[in-house]
Amino acid sequence: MTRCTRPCVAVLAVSCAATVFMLSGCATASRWVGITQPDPLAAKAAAQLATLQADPQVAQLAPQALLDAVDAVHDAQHPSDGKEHAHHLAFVAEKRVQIARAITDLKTQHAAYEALLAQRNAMGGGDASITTLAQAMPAPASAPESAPTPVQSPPSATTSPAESAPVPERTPPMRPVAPSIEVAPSPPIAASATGAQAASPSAPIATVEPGNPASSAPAAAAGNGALMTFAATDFDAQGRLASAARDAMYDLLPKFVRAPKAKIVVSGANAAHVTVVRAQLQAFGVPPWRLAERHAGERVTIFMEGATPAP
Amino acid sequence: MRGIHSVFRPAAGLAMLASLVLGACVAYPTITPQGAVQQAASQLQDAQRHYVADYDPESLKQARTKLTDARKALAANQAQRTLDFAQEAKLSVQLGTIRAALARDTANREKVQRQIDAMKQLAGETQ
Repeated sequence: MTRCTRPCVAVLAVSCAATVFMLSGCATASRWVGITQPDPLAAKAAAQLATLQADPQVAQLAPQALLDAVDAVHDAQHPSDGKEHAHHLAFVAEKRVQIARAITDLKTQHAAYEALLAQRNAMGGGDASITTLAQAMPAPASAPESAPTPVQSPPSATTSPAESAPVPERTPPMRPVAPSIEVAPSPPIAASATGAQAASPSAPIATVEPGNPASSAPAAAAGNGALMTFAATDFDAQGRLASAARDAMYDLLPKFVRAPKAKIVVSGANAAHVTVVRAQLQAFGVPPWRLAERHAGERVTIFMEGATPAP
Repeated sequence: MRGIHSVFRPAAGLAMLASLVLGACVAYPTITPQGAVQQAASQLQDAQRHYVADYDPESLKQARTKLTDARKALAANQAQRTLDFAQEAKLSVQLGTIRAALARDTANREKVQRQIDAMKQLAGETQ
C-alpha cells in the first residue's frame, strides 16, 4: 500500500459524505438539523391515496398520475424547510391524488360515451335520423338545419366522424340545478321560448395531455317549469311559428318525448297558436294521438299522453 | 510514480464529486419565480376563457387565491414561496380543467342517451 493511501482515503471519504448530502438534497440534511412535522393535510392525502390505490382502474387508466400522487404523498410525509413548505407539500399531494381520481373518472366516462355513440350510430345515424323520421310526416315547414359544431374530445379518445353535435349545449354546473333547456346555437332566440338563452360557441376543454378545452354556456330553466313557453311574439303576422322558436322546439324534442313531466305552454288564449304548435310537433314526428292538452285560463299546456306534468 | 498516485486519487475523488453534483443539478429544472407566476396566470386565463368555472368554480377560485398569494410573495422577494404558490395555482387549474372535461363528457353521454331513447320511441310509434 502506498503512502498516499491515508490522505487519499480521507479525501474520498469526505467527498463521498458530501455527495450523500448533495444527492439526498437539502431535505435530508435539514431534517437532521431541524425536524419538520408533516402537515395534517398530508395524512388526509395519504388516506385518499390508499383509497385510490385500492381501485385497479386507477392504475390502468391513469398510471402516471398515480405515480405522481405517490411521490407527492411521500414528499408530504417527509417535509423540510419549515411549516409553510410542509403545508405546500401536503396541498400538492392532495391535488395530485384528486387529479389521478379525476383522470380515471374522465376516461371511464369517455369510454361509456363512445359506446353509446356507437350504439346510436348503429341504430341509423346521429341527429340526422331524428330529422328523417320527423320529415316522413307531412310538414308545413322543413325541419331546421342546425350548424354542426365539431365536438373536440380528449386527444387520447377517438371521435367518430358522424359525431358532430349540431347543438353545442351549455350544461349545468356540477351543483344541482333546475332542468336545463337546450337551445339552438345560432341565431340567438329573440323574444321567444321564455327562459331559454342562446348558447355560446363551444370551445374544447383541456385534459391532462395538452389538448383543446371545450365548454358551452348554461341555459336557465323556464320559471313555470315548462320546456318552452310560447307567447304571441313567437308567431309571425300569418300566425306561423317563428323560425328561432321552431329551432328551439326541435332541439327540445327528445326531452319532450322522453321526460315524464315535460310540457310546452302556449299562453295568450289563442287557439290558432295552440294548433300551430301541435302541428309543428306532429311535423317533427310526434304522433297526434300522443299529444294531450290541459287548459287553464289563458294558458294551454301540451304534453305527451300518459305523462303527468306538474300544474 | 509515487507523486502521480498522490495527485491522481484525490483528483479522481473530486472529479467524481463534481460529476455527482452536476447530475443532481440536472434533476432540478430551474424556473424563475416570475416565470412561474406568468405560467400560472396564463393557465388560469385559459381556463376562465374556456368556461371551466361553470363546471368547477371552486378549483378556479382556489387557483385565483393561490395566484394572488404568489404575486404577493413575488413582490416580497420570497422566491421559494412564490414558486410554491404558483405550483399550487397550476395544480388547481389542472384539476378544474379535468373536472370540466368530465362534466362535458357526462353531459354528452346523457344527450346521446336521450337521442337513443327518442329514436326508439319515435321508431316504435311509426311502426
